[in-house]
Amino acid sequence: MAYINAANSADFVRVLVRVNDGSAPAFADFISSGSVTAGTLEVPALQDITITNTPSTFRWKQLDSADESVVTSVSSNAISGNLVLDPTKFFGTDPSGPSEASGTAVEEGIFGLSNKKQKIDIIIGLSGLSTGDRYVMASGYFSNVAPTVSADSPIWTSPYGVEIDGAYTVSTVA
Amino acid sequence: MRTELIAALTTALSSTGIGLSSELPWDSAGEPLYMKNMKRVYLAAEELTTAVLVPVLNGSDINRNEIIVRAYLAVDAKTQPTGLSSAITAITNAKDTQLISTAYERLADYTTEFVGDVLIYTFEYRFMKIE
Repeated sequence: MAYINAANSADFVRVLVRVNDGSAPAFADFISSGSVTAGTLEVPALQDITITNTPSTFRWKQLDSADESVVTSVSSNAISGNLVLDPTKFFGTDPSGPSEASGTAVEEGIFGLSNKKQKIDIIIGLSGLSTGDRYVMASGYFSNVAPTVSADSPIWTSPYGVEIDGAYTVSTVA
Repeated sequence: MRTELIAALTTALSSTGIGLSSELPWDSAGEPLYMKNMKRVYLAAEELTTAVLVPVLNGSDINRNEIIVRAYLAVDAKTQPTGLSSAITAITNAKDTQLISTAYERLADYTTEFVGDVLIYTFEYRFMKIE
């Protein structure tokens, strides 16, 4: 039985984020010639990540059946997790002002993309993003960003979420 | 940490009548230096314990380093020095010295034992750092 091992440095989970350009994302938008494309943000220091796909259900009962019947309808998709703050990746290299249009994901950072309600594309490499690795890709909006620190754990961390617009694309790196 | 504690205790103990040595408490003819030279505080070498504070999926874990420094003071149990109580307080409070700027948690406690007619105080400082 095979399993997805994310323990080795070559198999680390990779999450890349870029500003959506109005079209559906493609792998080449994130990685070109083996390198992360300009303006694409690689999210560091992930503590955990969860990919959720929850179809809505419609259930009904029939007099000629002892059990409920069900069909699924539209799905609710979301990504969630926690990360340790890297100030450059979290707050951006050159965040735009409140009345300015959003810059790139690198410039805005995670907090800026959330604060500006900027639509993003996101790709998650379950064990890296090299040839043969499986990935999940989608578009959506950052949510639930809540940086926090405490006296007995003096490292800033934050939960994060991405509310997905539409369906996931699941594929393998060619 | 040991260097900073020595600097802090040099000042804190100056009016207590209790001395301070910068030497390690090594054994001389089977007897630790603090037994041979009573009423003088000796600080042992630092000890380090590393534990993962925040595990990370895609990079280096964030570690918590616990640095332990022990100090020893021996006094005559029959005739204790007049400044002993002040010295004990000063030694314990040295954990808060601002000469140590990287610790986010500081702990200090002490235990006592008798060896013949000698009362031995063993202090333990514990400093937590993020790496």
